[in-house]
Amino acid sequence: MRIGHVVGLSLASLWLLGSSAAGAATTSISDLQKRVDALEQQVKQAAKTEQELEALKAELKAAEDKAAAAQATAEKVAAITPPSDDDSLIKFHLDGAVVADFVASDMKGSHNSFVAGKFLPIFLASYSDWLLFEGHMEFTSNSDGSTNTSLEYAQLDFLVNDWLTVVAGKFLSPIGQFQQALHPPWINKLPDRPAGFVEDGGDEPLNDVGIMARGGFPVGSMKGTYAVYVGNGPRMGDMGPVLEGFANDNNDDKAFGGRVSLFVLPHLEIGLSGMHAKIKGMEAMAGAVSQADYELIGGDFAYTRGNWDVRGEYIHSHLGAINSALDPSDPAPTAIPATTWNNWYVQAAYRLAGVSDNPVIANFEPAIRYSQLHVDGFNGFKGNEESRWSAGLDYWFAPSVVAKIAYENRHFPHAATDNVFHAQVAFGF
Amino acid sequence: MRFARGAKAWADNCGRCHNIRNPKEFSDKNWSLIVKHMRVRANIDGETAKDIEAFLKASN
Repeated sequence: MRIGHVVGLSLASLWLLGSSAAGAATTSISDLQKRVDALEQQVKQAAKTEQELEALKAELKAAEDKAAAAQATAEKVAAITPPSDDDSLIKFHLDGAVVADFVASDMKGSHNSFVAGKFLPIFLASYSDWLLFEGHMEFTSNSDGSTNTSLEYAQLDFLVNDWLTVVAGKFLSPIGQFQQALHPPWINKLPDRPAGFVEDGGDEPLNDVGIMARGGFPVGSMKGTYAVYVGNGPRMGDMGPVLEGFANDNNDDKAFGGRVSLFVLPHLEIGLSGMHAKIKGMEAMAGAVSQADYELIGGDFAYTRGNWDVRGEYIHSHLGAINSALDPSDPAPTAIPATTWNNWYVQAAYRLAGVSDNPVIANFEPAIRYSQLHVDGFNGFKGNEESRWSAGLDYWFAPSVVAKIAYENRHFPHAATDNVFHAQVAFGF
Repeated sequence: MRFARGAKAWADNCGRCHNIRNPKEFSDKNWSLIVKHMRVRANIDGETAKDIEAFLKASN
């Protein structure tokens, strides 16, 4: 630009001189002077613009130098700063629940009582995105003032891919839905378990020790789930098979079982369960015990849509004839005939948010359940037979903080009917 | 897109067993572990679990 203006000024000067020399000028001297002045102004403006451009270049260079220095400093800080918890490969979290109960019963000899609170911590630890440890303890106060501690599960979960997780250790049984999904007190709609779905003498397996494969997968537009396992399996107890995970096996035959489910509608799940094991009789002081087949089949459903939560579950199990003690101090095994257990429940709950916008009323949730355990076969295993109506009312202070009250009518074929008032507060965290 | 899928999966899956939890109840780190825990317990496929985790972390 500068050269152009200089050339322009020179040509104008030559033209001016040429014109004067030729004597043919038709333009007055004053007009020419004006033109020259204008050209000089343009040259000065060009010089000024060039100076400004040079100043801007200098400022840009200074800014670039500052940015480079800041980036270098940031990289040095990052190199010496440890990663935050969220970036670390190993992460920890304490989960769980706490529950407190009050029970009043008209059963002869019973006393209205605050039932021992339970502390149910769940410890979670993960390594990167492919390994998870889940450990669930249960601390319960006993009536003699001591504390009972049990290990519900302690399992390593290998997240192999989107559709497969391999589990090793002690895990909750995948049979049915109540034990593996609904029994935590802040999830259970009523303060008690259904009849027969109990920890002692129940019909639904609680947990096992072994390995398991589980996951979810698409089935067309629907969703399916599966869980299959092999474990040590149950042992004989005084009320029939003890369906808990034992740290070692007392025979060489492993238990096989699992559950598959299909969401036939987005909010309707249908599940089928099965299990097979060989159970060795409990040793007595003397005499030979035998081994028997144990088979279980079950079905369950869950409809959860809007404010409705409707569920049901059925389990049928069969133990072949077996020679077994009922207590290790028995002098000889008992010849126990084949026995079958039929156990089921159906329940419904409705959150009143569906009928009221009132913030208090909307947090109430009435629930009702009918459950039954029926045993055919050995009379000694019929002690837990029962049919039970349960009607309750929950109040949800938060999604995992609930107060429940319930009335239960418990009918026992071999004992007097019991009417129970049960109150409970639970907090899941 | 993942956020929208996660919001729907959160509503569909979490409410099947228990009340839907408020995303603000836990930090990003805690949700990362809890979602893995629930993925195993409820047989949620891996991609859906990632969608739910993304939604919870973006909403807490």
